[in-house]
Amino acid sequence: MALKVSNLVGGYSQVPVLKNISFDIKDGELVGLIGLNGAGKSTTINHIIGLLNPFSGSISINGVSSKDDINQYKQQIAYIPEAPILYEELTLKEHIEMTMMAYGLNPEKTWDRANELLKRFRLDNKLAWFPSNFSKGMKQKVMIVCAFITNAKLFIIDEPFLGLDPLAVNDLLDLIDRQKQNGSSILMSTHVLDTAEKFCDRFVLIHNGQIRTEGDFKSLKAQYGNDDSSLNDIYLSLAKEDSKS
Amino acid sequence: MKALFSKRLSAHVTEVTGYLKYVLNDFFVIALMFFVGGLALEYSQILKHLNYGMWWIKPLVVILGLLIVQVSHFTTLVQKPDYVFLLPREKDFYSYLKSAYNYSLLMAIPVQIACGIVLVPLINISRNSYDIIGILAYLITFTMLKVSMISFDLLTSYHIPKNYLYNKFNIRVAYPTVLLIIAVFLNSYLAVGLVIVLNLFIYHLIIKSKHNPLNWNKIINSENSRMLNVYKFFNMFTDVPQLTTSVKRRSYLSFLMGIFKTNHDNTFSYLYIRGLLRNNEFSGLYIRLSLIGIILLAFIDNKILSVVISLLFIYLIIFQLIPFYKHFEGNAFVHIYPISEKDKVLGFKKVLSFLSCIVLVVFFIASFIGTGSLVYSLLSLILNYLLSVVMVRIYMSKRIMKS
Repeated sequence: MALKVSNLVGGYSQVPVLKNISFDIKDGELVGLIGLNGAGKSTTINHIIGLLNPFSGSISINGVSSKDDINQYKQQIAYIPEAPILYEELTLKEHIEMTMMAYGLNPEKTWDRANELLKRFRLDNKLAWFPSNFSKGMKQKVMIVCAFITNAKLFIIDEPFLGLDPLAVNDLLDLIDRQKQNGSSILMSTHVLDTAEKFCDRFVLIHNGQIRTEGDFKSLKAQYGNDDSSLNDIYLSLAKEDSKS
Repeated sequence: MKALFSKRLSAHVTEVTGYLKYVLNDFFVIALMFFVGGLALEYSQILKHLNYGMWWIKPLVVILGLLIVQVSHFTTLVQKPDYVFLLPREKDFYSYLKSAYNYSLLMAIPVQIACGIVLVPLINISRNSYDIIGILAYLITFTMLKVSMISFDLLTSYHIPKNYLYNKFNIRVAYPTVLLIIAVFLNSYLAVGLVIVLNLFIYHLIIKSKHNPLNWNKIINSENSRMLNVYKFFNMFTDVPQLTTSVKRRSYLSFLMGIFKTNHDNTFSYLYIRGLLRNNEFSGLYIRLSLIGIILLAFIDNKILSVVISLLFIYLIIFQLIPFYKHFEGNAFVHIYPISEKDKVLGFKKVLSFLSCIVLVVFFIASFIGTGSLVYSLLSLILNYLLSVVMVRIYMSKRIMKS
């Protein structure tokens, strides 16, 4: 089991945002985390990457929880945030070096991989640039490159498609697919449901800090819609139902 | 729109007076009074030695006049979101800019007159005459040159076709130079006539262009750079939160940045050394304090005083750099890396030790130059070393734990 979240209660202050959440991700699986704004997607992610401490419950990656060995736990995660987070004082090349150093990666092998990724995202001639010179989309691509040079077992990707050009979206999906084949797992939060419908193996629908439902597209269709309904239809009907009650 | 400007203006005045409280503290006012008094005395002494026959007096008046007319700017108080929020009101924006223009003139003209009056004795010498009307012609020329520049800024708030007759260089440098040369070497009344023509010309262009689309980029950028200068000034006296620190590459320091080998243990040293040297605020502190220390030590020959001064500066430098530990706290990745807090502190300590070692060495050399005594320079080196060890190893950990 790549990621196992069990009975997680958590949030930013005393008031819990997440009320007893449990779900898991298997090896080589791409799971979509779907929910309205403020449903608790980012809070869940912040708990998994270790920025927040659970009030109760536990999170483990390949059997290691943050209480067992924090460094081994974190070593397994690669994170792509919703809004790019970069060091104003470091160039693109130094961001890549910093990532290599932090995760203790082999420089030669990793640079081969990095150069391939940089070329793919058309950043290979911008190695000496500082973040202030990058556009929003370019910054997002830097985050993708830094995440995919690691040998992470679990990729946490928060709303990856906004601000990326169609070519980059395609490349990102391709990279995700390759990681899946290598046996890594991916948790991806997104609002772009038609893309999610096509690519995710399974969905976790989160609403008001609770898991509303989970399952693959087929079982969601069987449960909440008919053969013609899209993920969008199913999601909208569920969200409306919840707001009525 | 006029109301919007007055609202902005009163907010601006409140902000500036808030900062002025810190600038005009008692010590600074006294120091300033002495400084101005001394300057005035010096000026009057110099004037006594000058006479009409000196060939460089006239060029000097032109150059000083040129400097004076560069003082003060078009103050629009435009903010970046205006571009979005006032977009539908673009047609009415002229009345806003007009209020800003009037305010800018109100602020600029007294400055021009005051600076002009300071120049009066010099101008009198250059003309070898003391008549009031002639002096008035000069003051009018200075003032009207400034008016033409601010009018030009109002004009270029609109998109106007490129024209070599009225580009920024001509308005700010070329025309003032020509007019001041005419005033000084030919006839000051002719200069007054010409500067009025120049102003009428720009005024005509404004009337013609005021329905053009606004050049928002230019308005926002020039107001931002003006406010940046204001904030930079206040930042010398107090902390200005609006002043975001800027980052410079400083490739000439890259030999210092490369000092830490790129391996897992040095992850945070790698980050901190680059951050410290490229971040203007902290590198500025480090370099300024070191330089002042070096200069003082190189000129102090009292041996005990030299030791005390070097200890004081080592203390100040390390003390000021310690808060940089928290600099990257806002970046989620420093928490996500599989590196413990302990190793992060260690990485920062390495950088601090390295930077203080550099200061120790240069202070040793400087105090040797100053005192001429190898024994005392060595003594101060050892004491400085001990102090830096105590600060980096013990004091820093305590301070980081506390916050």
